[in-house]
Amino acid sequence: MTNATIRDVATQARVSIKTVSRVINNVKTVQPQTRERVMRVIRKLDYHPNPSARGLGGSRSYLIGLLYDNSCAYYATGVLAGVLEICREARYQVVLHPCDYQAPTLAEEVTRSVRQSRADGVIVTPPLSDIRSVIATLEEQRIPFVKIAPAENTSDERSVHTNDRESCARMTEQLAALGHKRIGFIIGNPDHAAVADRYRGYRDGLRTCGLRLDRKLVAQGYNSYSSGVECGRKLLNLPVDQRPTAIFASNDEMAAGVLAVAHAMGVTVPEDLSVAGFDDVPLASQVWPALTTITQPIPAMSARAAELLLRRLRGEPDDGAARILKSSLTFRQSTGPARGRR
Amino acid sequence: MSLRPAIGTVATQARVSIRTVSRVLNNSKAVTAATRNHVMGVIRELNYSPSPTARRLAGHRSRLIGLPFDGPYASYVTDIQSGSRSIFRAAGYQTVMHACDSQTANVADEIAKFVRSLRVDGVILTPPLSDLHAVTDVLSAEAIPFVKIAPTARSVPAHSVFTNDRDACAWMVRHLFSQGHRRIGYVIGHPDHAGTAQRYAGYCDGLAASGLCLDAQNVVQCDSTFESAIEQVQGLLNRRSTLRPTAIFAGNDSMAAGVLRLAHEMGIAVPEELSIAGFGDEPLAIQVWPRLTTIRQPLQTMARQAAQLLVQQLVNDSKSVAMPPPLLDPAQRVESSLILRQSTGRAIRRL
Repeated sequence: MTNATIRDVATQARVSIKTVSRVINNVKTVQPQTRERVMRVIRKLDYHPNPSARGLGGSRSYLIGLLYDNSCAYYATGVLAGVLEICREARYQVVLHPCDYQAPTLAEEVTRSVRQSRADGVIVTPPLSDIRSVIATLEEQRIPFVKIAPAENTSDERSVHTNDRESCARMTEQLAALGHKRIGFIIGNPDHAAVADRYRGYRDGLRTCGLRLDRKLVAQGYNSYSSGVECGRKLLNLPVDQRPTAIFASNDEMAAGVLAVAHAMGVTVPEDLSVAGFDDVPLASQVWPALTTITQPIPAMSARAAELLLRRLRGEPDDGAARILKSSLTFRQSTGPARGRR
Repeated sequence: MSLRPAIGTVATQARVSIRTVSRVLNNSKAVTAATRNHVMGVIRELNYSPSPTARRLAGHRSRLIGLPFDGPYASYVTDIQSGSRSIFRAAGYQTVMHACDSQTANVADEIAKFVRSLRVDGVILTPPLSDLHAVTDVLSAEAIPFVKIAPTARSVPAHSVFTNDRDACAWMVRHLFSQGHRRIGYVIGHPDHAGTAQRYAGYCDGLAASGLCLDAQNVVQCDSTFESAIEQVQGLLNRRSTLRPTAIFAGNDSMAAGVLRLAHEMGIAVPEELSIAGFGDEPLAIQVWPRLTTIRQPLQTMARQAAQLLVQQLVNDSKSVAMPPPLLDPAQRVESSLILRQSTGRAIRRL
């Protein structure tokens, strides 16, 4: 679909381009009836004044958009905390742009809603930060943006990351150090590229410890609690001598699912099975036993993303502070030595 | 509340004519970039915004809905956002969040600043902001339509969506009674939090309806967090098993999860030796083991109805829309429901 131009509006409303411009700019020399008619056509054609031209006029909205996938609302809540803190100091407000990352019209919708809200720039959260059409449309529309945790391009100045892969390797090594030889892994949603990096980290860790990758011990999850339950069942239903003695899941929700399966099957955690997650969401410390996990600095990452974006909007150069914020391992009660090692 | 600065104040401070300020506001091209930037700076500094009535006459709409919220309620607000999304979208509105602190004295001023600076068309108020008269007064003064979600004061029910917290809590107690429980404990949330008082009142109603006496020893004050339940409920569970409650009902799911964790740590079997129920049906309720019996608060439905009520007001405001809106009762009640899961069961007889 091509965008309506000011010319299209003028033709349909049977007025001059100048009149349309006057209506848009609220100039008082336009008759109320004419204004009404032009506004109707503007709405009908879904016409928006060109944002870059508007930018030249120096009008800022002092709004920052937050683009997130609707199924990741809780992740968005964490991001929001960091973004709000920075925006509050700088007297910017945050507009939420929830979208559906699987929608075929995603790119158009992103453009439409960002233009409509007149946001000066946007912060793009995963999995949207990995969707090419979204990034391409923002670039094309010259809407300034900063991506949080996109898959690659750690060198891209418009992105903030954490060290997913490295910290997952460390966790795997720690589990091996506790005597675990059969360490299971639950992969996250393949559409979330940074989460896929966690699987790479797991394999790195196995390699470092001289353990072989056993495909039977790897299950494909989709980031949800219920997918964790399914994967947990699959892994714990293996014959006892082949069953993993530790399961490392790509996020805390899936790890909580594994815990529930273990409880239901009478498998004691951590005596018979160690369980570890990733993210350190509140859930991680609220399940029993509390989850060993990797603490991802979500508020710090999002605050950093907001800072970068505000700098871009002000035309200031990057201050050179880190764009990769490190995650750390947090040990709680869900992991322990493998049987025979205690 | 501070007085709204006039356009004249802006002109004086910026050392330009009123006409120039007006041109800047109306994006007229007859102003140089330098003057524009200078005037905009003064406008922001003085927090000036054109009078809402004049703005409305001029047909100037931002198509933004303000969603101010109290700090600790961020996840609640994400739910409100998902529930209201389709309605606002269809009507061409977007929501802008604004974090504030309901405990500070100038919260109403802060919200006034927020709605003025963004020229929001309408506001959705979530608890505890929906209970603050100062906030609703400010919005009325600004002539900004608003809808309250779950206000506790029902004296002015117009433009609000509420739920039957109190009745639902009474049902939960009666359900536990029907399962043979006679010593039913209660964990109270933070006294300043929305719904805390209503839920506790419902617990008391439920005891009375079951013919049980309220025993202050079975009631524990917490602050709505998981951690507070771990700390405060320990004493209750440390009692001799013949004196200990056989069921504990908590004012929210986080506290119920805290009680569940304590029970696990103390080796008390749930639900065999202790039934536990929560309130809210947050995602957490099904992510702990065993899954929590709870009360589902239809937040998303409430948000949807609040959005409908607000859009209805906005449409009534603008005369340009020919389509007659489907009229909704300005006070909407959404029913909560009991969700029975594995954390509650029949009481065992301990003599």
